Amino acid sequence: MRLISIKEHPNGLKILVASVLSGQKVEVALKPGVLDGAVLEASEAGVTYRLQSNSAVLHLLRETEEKQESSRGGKDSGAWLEWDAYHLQPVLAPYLVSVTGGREDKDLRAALQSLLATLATTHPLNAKEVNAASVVLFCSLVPLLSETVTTNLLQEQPSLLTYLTTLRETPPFDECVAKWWPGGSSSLKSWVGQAAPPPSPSHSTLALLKGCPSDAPSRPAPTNPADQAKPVRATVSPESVKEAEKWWHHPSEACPAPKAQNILPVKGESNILVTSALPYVNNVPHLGNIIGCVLSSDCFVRFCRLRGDNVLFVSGTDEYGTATETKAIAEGLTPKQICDKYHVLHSEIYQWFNISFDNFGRTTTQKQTDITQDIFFQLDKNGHISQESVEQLFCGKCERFLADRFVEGSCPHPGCGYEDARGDQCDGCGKLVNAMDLIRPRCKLCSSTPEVRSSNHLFLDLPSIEPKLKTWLTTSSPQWTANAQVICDSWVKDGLKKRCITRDLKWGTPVPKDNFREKVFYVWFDAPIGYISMTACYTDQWRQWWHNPDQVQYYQFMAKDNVPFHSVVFPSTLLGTDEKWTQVTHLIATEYLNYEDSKFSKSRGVGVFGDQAMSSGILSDVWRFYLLYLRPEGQDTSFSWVDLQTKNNSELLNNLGNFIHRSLSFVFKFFGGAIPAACPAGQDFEVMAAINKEVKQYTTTMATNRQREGLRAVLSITRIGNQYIQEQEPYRLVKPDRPPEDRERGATVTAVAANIVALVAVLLEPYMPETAGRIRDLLGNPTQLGRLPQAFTQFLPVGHVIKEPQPLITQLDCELIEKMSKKFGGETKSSKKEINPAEVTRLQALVEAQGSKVRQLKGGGMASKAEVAAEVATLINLKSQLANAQGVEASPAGDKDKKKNKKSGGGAKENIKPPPATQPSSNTPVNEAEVSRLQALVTQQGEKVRALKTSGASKEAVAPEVAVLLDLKQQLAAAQGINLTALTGKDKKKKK
Amino acid sequence: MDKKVLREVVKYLQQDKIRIDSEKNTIAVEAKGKRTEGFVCGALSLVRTFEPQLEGVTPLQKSLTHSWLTYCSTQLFHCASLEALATCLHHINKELENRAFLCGFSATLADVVLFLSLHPFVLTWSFMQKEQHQNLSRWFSTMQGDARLAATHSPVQFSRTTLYAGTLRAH
Repeated sequence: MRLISIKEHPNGLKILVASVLSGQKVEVALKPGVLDGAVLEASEAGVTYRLQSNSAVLHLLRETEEKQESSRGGKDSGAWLEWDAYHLQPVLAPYLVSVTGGREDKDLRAALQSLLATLATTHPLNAKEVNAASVVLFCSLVPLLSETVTTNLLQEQPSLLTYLTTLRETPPFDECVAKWWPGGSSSLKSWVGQAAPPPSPSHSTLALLKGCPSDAPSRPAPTNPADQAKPVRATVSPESVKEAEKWWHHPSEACPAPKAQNILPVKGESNILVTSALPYVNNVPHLGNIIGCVLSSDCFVRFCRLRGDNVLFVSGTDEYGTATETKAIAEGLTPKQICDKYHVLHSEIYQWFNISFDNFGRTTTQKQTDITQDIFFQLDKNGHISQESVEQLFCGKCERFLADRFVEGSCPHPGCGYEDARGDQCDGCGKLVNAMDLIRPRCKLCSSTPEVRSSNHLFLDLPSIEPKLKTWLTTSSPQWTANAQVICDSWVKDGLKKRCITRDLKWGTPVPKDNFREKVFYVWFDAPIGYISMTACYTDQWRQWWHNPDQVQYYQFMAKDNVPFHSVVFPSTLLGTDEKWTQVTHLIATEYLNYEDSKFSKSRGVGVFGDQAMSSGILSDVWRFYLLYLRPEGQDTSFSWVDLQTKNNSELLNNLGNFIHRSLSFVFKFFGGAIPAACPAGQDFEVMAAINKEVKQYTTTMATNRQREGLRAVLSITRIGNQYIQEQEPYRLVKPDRPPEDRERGATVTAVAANIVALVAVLLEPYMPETAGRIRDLLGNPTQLGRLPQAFTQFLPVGHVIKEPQPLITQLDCELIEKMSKKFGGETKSSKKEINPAEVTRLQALVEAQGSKVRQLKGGGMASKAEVAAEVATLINLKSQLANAQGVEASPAGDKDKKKNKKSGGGAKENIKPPPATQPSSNTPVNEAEVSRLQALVTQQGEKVRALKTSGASKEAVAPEVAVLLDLKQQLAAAQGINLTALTGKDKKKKK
Repeated sequence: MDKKVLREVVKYLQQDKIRIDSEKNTIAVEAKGKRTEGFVCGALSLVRTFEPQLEGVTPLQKSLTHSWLTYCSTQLFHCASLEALATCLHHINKELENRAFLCGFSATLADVVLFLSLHPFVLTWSFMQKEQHQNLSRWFSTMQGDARLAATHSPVQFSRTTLYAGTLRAH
């Protein structure tokens, strides 16, 4: 056993004395910060436990105690031990602290005085009889003998004083005291205050549970304790408090005047052009696509608009290319029809997600053709376009040159060898691929091996533009996200090569050059030009945005797979024209979002796609919130339904929603909906300073596109607000029976809280525009909430009237979440049913044996109809078991067997009925609700049985519970369509 | 809080002829004509009378039960702030790291008392908090499988897969 104690702590002495008394050796280890001063470590069955000092004394002296038990009347040791811990320590410990501090606390002294009097009158104080109680009491009180003040206190109880001094001279107390306190008596300074004093018994932990008093609005769930337990308010400096005070009193300085939206850059102002990577038209975007570009850019754009920048936000569908042609063939439409159909679908999804495009265009416009051809002419004029005859794959069967995406084969990059590499890029290693280099190429449409033919093509001469590109990169790329810089660097380092920019297709921007008129531009050459043409479709003044690099900051948003074309090819195209184009200044690339730890996959039905999110019944704002909350900034992140539920219920509902609802309810309930006059004081300004710190954090992180951190700043503000209300309790202060200064204070807190809500309404806009709008609406749409303030201030003037608050956020219940995760989990999960190969082979052998038996019987013609029928029934039963074990639905197999039997025309056919036990598995459809209900019951019962077993209950007690469990399991199996009875039946047979 | 928990202990023991009173901030129980003062002594006297195995089997187990009851009555029941409660929870979670129950491998009175005390709090926990107190959550989910506790206390859901592993941040 090991005694671990704070140096010289009397609780350590307790254990030491007890160990000497009992003759059990303990090893002593001194450590600072031991809980309760000292503990005794003891091991049993390989596990180490810790006993608190009093219990340790009891443990060491257990034998003596049990002997004395019978012979003693009055209070036993246990009672005195409890008296020591429960009554004495909470007074004695703080009293000794006050004495050590040099100022004896009179109240504590009086309390201790009366306790000691009780002790002196009720305890026998017989120094001859040593037991656990005397050890504990002696060690607790003996430190009182070390100081004059405290000895004086003891002298008032002479019998107690004598008792203590006598014990101190009695072995083994004397030697232990000498060993524990080498100076002879306790020097309070060395241990008092080292261990936290026990809490006063007057507090009740239960009070913490009633965090939300009954007169506060009870609709939103109470804030959960741990959220409050964390110190959300960072320390604030006095200067920042003073500053907060200044902002509060000068609202007009904090809030810039609202400004009309301007869609053209203005010299000398902040002009921001934002584009989001063009979603390819023939795919419905999934959540990963949405957070990767459009949603991230929308969040930034909304922030810029709040900041008062001139922002133009452009995107659209990328429509040309081979993929559209393929899709058109598949759906039997023309490429144009396909694009029209899907463009609408895309627009609807983004509209639902509240993506605030200034223009959501498309690449199949006349403007696109004009601008692309213009750029091409310039490049050609400047000598950056070359012609080459290209050996290209031609599929004789399909009678066409195969575009990159129409060829598949093994990846040519050393070390990869991925078998399904596409002609333009390998999904295995991510590297770009030249279709001609593919090993064992095949036509994607007909899978025949294509032949090589030559065809003339135009090339963009990247090496000739490289010097310009490198110079430009040094100025631009430092502001890009890290992943974009790395990808771009590795491309440039590999050395740039000429890139073919034409394709043998119909569906594309026509090439305006003789001998190439039947060809079109490669989609990656003209797609980024779509940004320009879409701006041109929006305004005739588009050159003000696109030929204005000195005035315009250009932000491009995309997922990391789009970086090469945006960082190298598109800039080179523009640089090669020698015109003054606005080039990307901030390339913002995200990592990937996964779906429940696997990839989104349309074909496998894994993941949530835009249209499905729309019909999910979950508000678009919640989707926005959660996607931005886990925006894959530094690394890939993973979407999870349970996490979505948790974040919604904890962050949105309990934190943000709860704060807003409570704050506005106070205004509405106690002040008739009008903002009361506030006279904030020091502590209020401290809160404001803490909020200002978060506002600053929000502003800087949003400006640098760290949107996750920005969102956390908003949530911190509401958390600070919640804590502020919790501490100040305005709902108590405003009660009519409180003194006027209290009620005034209540008004102040209410007004400040309402203004925090106003601030949140502004800051939340980029993340949850609908919710922010609803909050502004509740607040009566004050104009000053249209712009990002510099700091927290009085957004709402005194007397400003608000509407009756409505709950903003709804709880997501487990049922919905379970339904959703099942619905979008794809087939992968359901087919995961475990297959036991040994069981399968065993059953196969049985089926075969039984099959030949039946054949023999029938062939022999000796057996009676009934006999044959019985054997056939067994065969069918075995077959369905086999199907089950193989993870195949049993019913088709059963049906087939029936048919076969009929065909075989055996005499027994009319009599054959499938054994009744197989009925449920083949006929009843699986009732999912029932299954999950039963599953829950089984789990519950299982835990019950485990608990019973671990608690050492008798067999007879456990048996009935186990029976219930087995019964439940059987019901579950039946509901799932698994044939349990048949299995058990078979087992019996085997035993025979 | 002592009184509430003690009352629930009585209910757990399925006894009804027990009086609980508290005078001069000392709680006392009276069963079979014997009066015992104090939460620890009172609770122990109840199990000694009605269900001795709940005190523990080995001497060490009995002492541990005593130690935990004392801990509850002096620390856990009297947290003045949520920080103090969080410290207690942290301590308990740490202690449960190497064993199934507070006093070893079978449930004792200490487990019952702790369960009865914590149940109203655990009910309000988010999955994140449950995961922060992983051992405590595991212990709690075992305890709520106890037939008597399950009959009187609404079940709390725990997730077996960790949701926040490595991502628990200051927020």
